[in-house]
Amino acid sequence: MDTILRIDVGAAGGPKATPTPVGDYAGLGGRGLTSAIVATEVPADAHPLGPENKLVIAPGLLSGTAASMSGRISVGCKSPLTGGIKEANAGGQAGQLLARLGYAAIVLEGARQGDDLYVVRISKDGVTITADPSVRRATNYQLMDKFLGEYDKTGAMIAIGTAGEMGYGNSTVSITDMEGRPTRHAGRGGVGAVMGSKGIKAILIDAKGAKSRKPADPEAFKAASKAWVEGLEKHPVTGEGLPAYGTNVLTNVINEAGGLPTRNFATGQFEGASKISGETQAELEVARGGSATHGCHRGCIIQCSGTFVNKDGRYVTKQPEYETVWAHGANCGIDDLDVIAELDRLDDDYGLDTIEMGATIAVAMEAGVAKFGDGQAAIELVREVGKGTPLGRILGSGTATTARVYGIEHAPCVKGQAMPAYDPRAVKGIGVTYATSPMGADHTAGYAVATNILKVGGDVDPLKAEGQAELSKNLQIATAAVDATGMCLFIAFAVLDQPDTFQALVDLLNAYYGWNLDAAGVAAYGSKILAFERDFNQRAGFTSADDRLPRYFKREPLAPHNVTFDVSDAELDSVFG
Amino acid sequence: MGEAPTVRVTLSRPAFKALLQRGIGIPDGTGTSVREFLQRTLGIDPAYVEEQLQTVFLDGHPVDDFDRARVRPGAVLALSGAMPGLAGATMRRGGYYARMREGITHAGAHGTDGSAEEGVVIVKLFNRTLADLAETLAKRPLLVPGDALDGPGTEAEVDGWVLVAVTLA
Repeated sequence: MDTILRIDVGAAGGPKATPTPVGDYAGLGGRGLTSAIVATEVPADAHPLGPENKLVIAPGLLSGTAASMSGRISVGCKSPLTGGIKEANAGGQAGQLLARLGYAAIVLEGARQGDDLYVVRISKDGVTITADPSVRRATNYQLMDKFLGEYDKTGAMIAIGTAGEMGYGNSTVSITDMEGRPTRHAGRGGVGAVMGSKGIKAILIDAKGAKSRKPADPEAFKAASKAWVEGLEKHPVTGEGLPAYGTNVLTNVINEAGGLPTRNFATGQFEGASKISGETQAELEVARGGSATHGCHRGCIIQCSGTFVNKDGRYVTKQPEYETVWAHGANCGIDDLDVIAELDRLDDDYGLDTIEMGATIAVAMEAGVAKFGDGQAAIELVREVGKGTPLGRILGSGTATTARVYGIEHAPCVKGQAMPAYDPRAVKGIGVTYATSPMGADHTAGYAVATNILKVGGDVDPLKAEGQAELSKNLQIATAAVDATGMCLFIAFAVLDQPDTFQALVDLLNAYYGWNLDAAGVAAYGSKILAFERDFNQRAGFTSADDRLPRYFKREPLAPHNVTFDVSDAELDSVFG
Repeated sequence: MGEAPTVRVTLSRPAFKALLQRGIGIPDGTGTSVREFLQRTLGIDPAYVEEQLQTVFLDGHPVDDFDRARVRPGAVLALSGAMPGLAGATMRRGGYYARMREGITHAGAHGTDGSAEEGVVIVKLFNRTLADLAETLAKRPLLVPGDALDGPGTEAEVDGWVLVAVTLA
């Protein structure tokens, strides 16, 4: 993984691919590499869809190795949704395969010539790029139907649907799963639109003949890998809860806590929560002949996904995740899992971020475009987005834009990006991360990674109220480091609770690269990534005024606990002050 | 709630689990601590209470101390295992990230002076507790929402609840 494949989409005669050494970017992977390249090479004042922006696709440091759970792939650019730096990551097969082919990253750069759309093919024999008129306005599942025969056995597809092609602020880059379906998405921030602006519709990867990457110290790597798997398998969350119910196991719990945003964040509890919970979803999937336990890429042992089939047993979509079930469910007042699954399928097909789409529909419902709870209306609205009708283009531009168009104050966004499925008034610590993350409102920016083991910020008393800022900062640092490894964030609980498992992760990195990282080194690594990102955003014009939640979260109490977001501006500023 | 006859109902396991997610009534045993309620009233093994009930809500408030938090008549007690994600971590009993939800944390002794009181407690089971505790709860009389039952059970409805003896099919 010592090569960066740079594709100049403005080259004479059509896009040209040039393998280049990683050079100064050596030792960076995943989010670390995408953010370093964007911060270094993209002018901060560039238009996100202009020729100066770049799209960087990077496997993690451990992707392509035998280490379990290492299949995440990062996609970075200047975001069309937020105007700041963006990294969105996804599971699926592509990360492992690109790494095995030796690529640390693919960089799409330059000024597109003409309006042809291109398909990139990458194998161990090299790279070909061809114009393909047949892919114009193709959805992700249509691309799958067209190309599956090329990648199903030993490959993967990275692609954009119609949303990316139309330049939407809400547009994803899709990654195919083990079955070759486009169900995994680098979802947040409109990364698909940047790929579309470069005229690249799909990247087909054929890893036939590519071998697993070899560590510097094979014996140490093998031992660390064994300890890593044992740690994940013995933990009740990674070994039991996630495999049995998936991430949607959170619906009942967050609802009970009064933190499940309902009907555009109007209240914190949804009366239909038990109808759309992970427990109910798993029962339904199994009863219909689907599956409640499935991985998104080979080498995953947590298996938090599943297969959702309809009443006739026919495949609809992968198991909708918690964020999707919330966004299209409680947040829109919809309590029908079949409707939610259909919306998830449409989002995947068009290439839409389910969080942003659900939040947008909820704003539209508050504006009277449809009624809360009307599932069929929600489906029709997403179809409008996919087709590119005038209304669809407004909705596809994201939650903040839709709220502006309809004159709605209640736009639950930070830096232009919609909040995920945890109301920050009930869980204030998450609100601090929503406010201050360089990515905009993002629950994965400050995940429950082992800050206690990393000792960033020292020991803390978990039951004292003060220190939300320090905790959020430490979480963001630790998460940035994990995002660079290619490891799925669902490792977090096992790493949080079990120091031996955390050490196994560090040992994997050290054994593979011949490093001598310790906990402090991991923290420094995460800090370096955040420094790249915050520096970019400052140059792009962001100030502390952008590190805020919308004011109504301070003013309007959230039922049932009647709490407001009362973390002071000074404390928010202290996160990175 | 007035006197009500006990209705015998046969429920499939999925149907019973759906009821448990929504909440069933336990007709006695309030006025105790959460720990006493779980162990004595519901008959849950003390080791299970301590080790597996990692996420517990009393009236929607995350509980950190099973001995200080008390169960009053009309209370809603929800039981869950450890949950994923940062939000899951914040909700965890005494967890490292509990401070992140300090605004909604259960304050401790609440709603009673500790003397025994008669009344109904609503119990909800989520995730692993559904699998682990459904059989235990099915062995005792339960109050279930009348609208959740078809047929003759609804005739015994008092204040929206029906006292049932459950047989799992």
